Amino acid sequence: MPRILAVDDSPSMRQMVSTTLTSAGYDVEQAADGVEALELAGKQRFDLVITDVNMPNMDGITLVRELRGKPDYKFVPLLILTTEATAERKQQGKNAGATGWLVKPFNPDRLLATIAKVLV
Amino acid sequence: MTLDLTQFHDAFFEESFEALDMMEASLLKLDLGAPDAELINTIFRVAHSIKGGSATFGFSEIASFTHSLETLLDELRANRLQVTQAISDLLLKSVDAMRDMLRAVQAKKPIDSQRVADLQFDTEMILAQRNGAAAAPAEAAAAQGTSTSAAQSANASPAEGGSSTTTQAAASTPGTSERRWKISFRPYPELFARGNDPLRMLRELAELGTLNVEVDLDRLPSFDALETQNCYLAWNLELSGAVDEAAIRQVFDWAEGDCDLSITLESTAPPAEDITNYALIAEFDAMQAASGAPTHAPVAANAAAPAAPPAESAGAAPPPNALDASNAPAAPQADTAATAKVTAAAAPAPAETPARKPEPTVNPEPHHAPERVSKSEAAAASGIGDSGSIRVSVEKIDELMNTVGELVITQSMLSQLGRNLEGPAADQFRLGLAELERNMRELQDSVMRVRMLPISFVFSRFPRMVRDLAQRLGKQIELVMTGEQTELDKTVLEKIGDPLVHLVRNSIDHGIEKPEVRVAKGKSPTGHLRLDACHRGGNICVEVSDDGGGLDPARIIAKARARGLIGPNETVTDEQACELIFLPGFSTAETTTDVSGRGVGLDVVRRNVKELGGSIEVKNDPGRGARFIITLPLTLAIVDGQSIAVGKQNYIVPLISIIESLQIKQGSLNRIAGRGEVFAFRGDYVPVIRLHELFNVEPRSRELDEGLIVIVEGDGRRVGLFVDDLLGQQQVVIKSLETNYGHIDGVSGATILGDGSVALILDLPGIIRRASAGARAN
Repeated sequence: MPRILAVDDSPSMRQMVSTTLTSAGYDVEQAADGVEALELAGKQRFDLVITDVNMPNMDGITLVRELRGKPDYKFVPLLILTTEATAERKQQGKNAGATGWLVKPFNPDRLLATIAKVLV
Repeated sequence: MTLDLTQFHDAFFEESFEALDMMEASLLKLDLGAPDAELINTIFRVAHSIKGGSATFGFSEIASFTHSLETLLDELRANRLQVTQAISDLLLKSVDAMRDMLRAVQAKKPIDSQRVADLQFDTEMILAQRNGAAAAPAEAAAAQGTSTSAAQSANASPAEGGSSTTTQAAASTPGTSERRWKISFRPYPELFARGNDPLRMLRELAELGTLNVEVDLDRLPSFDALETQNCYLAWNLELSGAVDEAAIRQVFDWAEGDCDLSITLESTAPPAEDITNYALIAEFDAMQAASGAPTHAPVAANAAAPAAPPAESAGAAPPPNALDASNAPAAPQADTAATAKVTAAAAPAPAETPARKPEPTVNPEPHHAPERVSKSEAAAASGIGDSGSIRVSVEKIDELMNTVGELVITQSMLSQLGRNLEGPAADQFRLGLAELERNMRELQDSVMRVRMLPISFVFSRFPRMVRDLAQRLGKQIELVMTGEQTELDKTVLEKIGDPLVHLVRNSIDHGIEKPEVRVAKGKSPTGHLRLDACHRGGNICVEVSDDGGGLDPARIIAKARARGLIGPNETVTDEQACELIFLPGFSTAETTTDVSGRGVGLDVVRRNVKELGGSIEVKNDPGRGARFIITLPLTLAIVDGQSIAVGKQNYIVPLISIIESLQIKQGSLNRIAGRGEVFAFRGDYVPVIRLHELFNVEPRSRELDEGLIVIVEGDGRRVGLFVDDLLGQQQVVIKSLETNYGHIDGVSGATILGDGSVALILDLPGIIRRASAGARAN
């Protein structure tokens, strides 16, 4: 069972992502910001991380960069789910090592399709 | 998959209201001269989250409003716009508007669209003015024309690119006839490090049609030089099927920038259609070159996107599909590489320069280093829980509390049983009971703590209130709050809000003077208002103090005389005068304003506090300020009580109101007309209340020297309760009489004792009222 870490500072968004993924049979852990996510990711291995960008304590782009720097997460798909869709932000995400970018509003089907695609 | 989004609504509302409180608090802390970047960030995040959530849940009005707001905040965040008083006011109004909108949506009521539209208009006006100021550079950028738009679109996201690809595909490939595509996919060595997997892409391609895979090992180094984490393989693919180019590009969406990719149509379709295709593509190219208008940007994106990244990496570039496709029929297969170079050379020039330009103005990751420190402080200061907490409904806690109460009773029943037990196992049983008793106490404490909330929940509304009132009254006021983390029971917390609001309003309205008056008095023009909370024994003290004019005893006395609250010849000390303000029907304000003096006086404040089992007093320093001190019990669920016996009945007297207990001689009792029995106690005459008379029970003795007098205080008056005996002191769980039976004057509740019997808890102010009414009647 693939394990996914969902990171978002908004509990409702986190719940939504988590419910969607859980009902599709994934194991989901949640984190409220980059710092928490990084800590969780250090304790256990996830097969995929999906994160928001704007979060307190540590934003999603920094999180992606930090995770990419860890041997365990060098090749793990890191997805960014956000409302911020400006080209510069995306390029930043890409440069930080993000695998892909999903733009809110949140669409369960698209999320599942994307994840299924990455988690072969 | 269908997901019922309404199940997340509650969570969204709750977090949004919390976030708005945080946004409001941050706005109030914002220093206009030197705004703290982290505060602006916090404010931005709130608008951003609410926008995201609203859009997801389909609350379009909120989403649209927050979008404008977010744009404005982004300008502030990026330092392109300064925070002015006007903007700060607008943002505060927006907080209110968002709160109301969310409430309306939550209650499924219509939103006040006009107000929202007005605010949105104001927001956009500010943005428009800013844009007007920045018009010159914008035009300059526009002058660069196509290159700018191409560059911007070159950076376009996979997601946008994806959708735009579809547009183009629809235009350029009418019909879905059988095609054969040649795809050259040459990942850069670091492809794996982006979490991309070539295998998945190949599999996905295979789903689109018949795939012929040929691996290219040319770049594979010797074994010694092999880096296991790099990708050295490249692929030449042939895909046949009813597939358009967009579908193929979508497979490689996220590998964009991490590989060289070329997709060539090996025409198997009728030539006529191909010609149409090329013509269309050429037309798109022309449009892109000519206008660079935003409407065409997606198209440009698609054409330019593959060119831009290789331009940066300076490697062999993949030929952009459009040009490549148009070359393909004429040029032999081997020529593809040459075409690619040409394209690559053409692309970087326009793409590179403008793409870099906007970057310095945007702060990519704002204030990264200080963020963690200041944020954690902010979280601690605001008291807003981190994710290490869960939300539990109050009912659940009340239920728990109730069960614990029952357990306490059962436990004390068992204890009593155990005392009389004989036999070999009795000692062990008692040992076990002692253990149980200790654990029960801990359990009770823990459950009590669950119900405790920091007083910041009440305090948090004051910064905004003080700011708004001060502004309206033309006063300068600095609010200082301490002890915000002091915890108290939720029920007490809920009821203390209104009295505090009243006191704060009073201070601002009547206490603190206008700046010019203050200066004339030799004070600083800015008045100081303090809210302090602290624990004192089993109580919590909340103090509202200011350095304003204080209370004027002479004026209070004059007013009280005029209202007939005191007799014309009654002499009143200054201290007593201060007490007068708590009498019903008293208000000294020269004119009633809409701030305080809504007919609700300090008498209501005192009554509310009393109802909570607390007290309020005022310490006056004429000319220099006043302090209102509220003392409250930490909880309404448990009371430290003294059991007393009257005949066969037991009663509980709250320990806090007992002054002392003593035996008196029959002779020290006097009868005074209109006041019943009194006895001399420390130079004062204290009325005696015979509890057996009050409750109509048969006492053990009616002789005063055979019983005890318990001196208690209630409502500022002392009385002696005549009882048969004092029993133990214990913490009792208060059970409401009102919910189980009905209200009785002089009884605040009931509890169940260890032997299973019910004892009434005495409400002393009520008893004193009852007794004095009875005495007067006599």
